[in-house]
Amino acid sequence: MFIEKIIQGLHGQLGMMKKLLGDVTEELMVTQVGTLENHPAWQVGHLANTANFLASQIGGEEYNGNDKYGMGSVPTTNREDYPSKEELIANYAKSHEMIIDLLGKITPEALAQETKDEGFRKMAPTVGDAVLFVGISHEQMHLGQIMAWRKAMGLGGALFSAE
Amino acid sequence: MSKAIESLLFGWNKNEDYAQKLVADLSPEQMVLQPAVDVNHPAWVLSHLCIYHPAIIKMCKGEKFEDPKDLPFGMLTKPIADVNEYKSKEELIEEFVAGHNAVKATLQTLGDAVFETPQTLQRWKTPMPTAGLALGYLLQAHESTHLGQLSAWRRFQGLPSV
Repeated sequence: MFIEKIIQGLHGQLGMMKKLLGDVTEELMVTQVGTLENHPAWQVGHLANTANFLASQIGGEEYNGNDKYGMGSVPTTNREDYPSKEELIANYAKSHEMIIDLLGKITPEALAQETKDEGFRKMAPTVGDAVLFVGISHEQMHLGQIMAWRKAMGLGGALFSAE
Repeated sequence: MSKAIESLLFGWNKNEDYAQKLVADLSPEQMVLQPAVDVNHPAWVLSHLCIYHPAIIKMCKGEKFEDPKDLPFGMLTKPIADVNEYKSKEELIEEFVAGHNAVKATLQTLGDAVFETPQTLQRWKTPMPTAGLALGYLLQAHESTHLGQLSAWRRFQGLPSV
């Protein structure tokens, strides 16, 4: 499988997140638009959380997630409920580095195995499915939400003229 | 079918289903509604994604194709809040699903050989020199990003998640 490209994609997503949040102030990090409760602070925390979960499925340490960022958790607009933007991005970067390191060592046989977590197996039956879905598809979907959030906030696209 | 192609199509099928759910309850007027300047509305997003399907198929076959960037609804275009500028929701969904199925059939037919097919689009030759390297981006990353935009767009209108 094209692991090299997935690793490249993960690096690209980290760069994209940094660009998308570059001019976002600490206060805006917890600002919600309409009924989109997922503000940037939650988004970054959520993606670091899911990256840690993915790591646990591909040979990393046992998952010890933060419920504040779990699927179904409700983001708050209290700035004090979240770490600083810098810390959030640093945690996100760290979780990416962990996945990239694990993917660098993964074998085709390991990718073809069933995912370890029984509940998650229904969503992504094999490790390869999980790597593509959680590592790329799920993460890009949330990055897309931040892109739309930026435009709704009047901050512009940050990446291209029309993403 | 190889495991790599199976995993690619796993996400591809999820996106196909998700895209349809995201627009299922929208009226024609909502399809072109922009809650803020330059926000990509559903009609533009679906039109935009559909132009990539024929490009992916030609790329996989090693054939040349027009750069999607230069096509109507390409990345250099901006959404217009005029329902007459776009196909109807039903037509767009039909085109989107047909495009997805055609990509699926192409990958199933060509198999793993597709991963080594040289890139035919000049602009993509450096970042994605083979079709295999472009498939992860085009089937997962690009489409998921735009569906995430639609997911946020729904919440801007107060519509429920799907």
